[in-house]
Amino acid sequence: MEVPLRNKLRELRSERDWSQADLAERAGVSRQTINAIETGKYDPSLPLAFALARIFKLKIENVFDDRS
Amino acid sequence: MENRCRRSFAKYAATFVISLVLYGVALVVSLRWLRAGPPEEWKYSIAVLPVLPALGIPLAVIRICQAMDELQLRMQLEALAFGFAATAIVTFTYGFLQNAGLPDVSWVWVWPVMAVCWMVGQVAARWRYR
Repeated sequence: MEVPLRNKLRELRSERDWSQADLAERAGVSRQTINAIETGKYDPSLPLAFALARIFKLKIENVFDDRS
Repeated sequence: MENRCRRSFAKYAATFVISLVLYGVALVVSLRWLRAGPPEEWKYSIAVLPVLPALGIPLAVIRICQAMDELQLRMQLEALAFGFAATAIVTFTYGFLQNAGLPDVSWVWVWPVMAVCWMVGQVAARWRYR
């Protein structure tokens, strides 16, 4: 069974005053991808999840959580 | 990525438009040449002449796919899967209706049907991940 990931991307982004486009540029993906991850419509691949955590200088489990 | 995507799209669009214009020119040349009554051994080569410039189109599509991120690729996969299946439904349905007397349609129409179905699939995928 697929468990949707919860994430703190929007929160972390807001703390840094970054737009979705800013984060997208840093992560090397489209703004739509960041939006879909934030709204829970798309779960990123493991490499992208690691890359996003690295951008915020956090461990992956501090950004993404698979517990509902 | 936003900028890289736009640059790749511009490159893709340029290749696509150039291929399409050359295809149009080759099609006109091919049709006129065929009407003029070329030598029998040249007929088939002249008929497929427009295919040569059209080869740039799949190359352009591959290039833009390589520049896509993982969600964009997923959306394309869903759109193409829908286009593939929906085209089968449309073409088979028309094929069965031909058994009941509808007129024969050229094979040239199969791809436009697939393109329309693919575009519908793209709109659905964009809506889903908006």
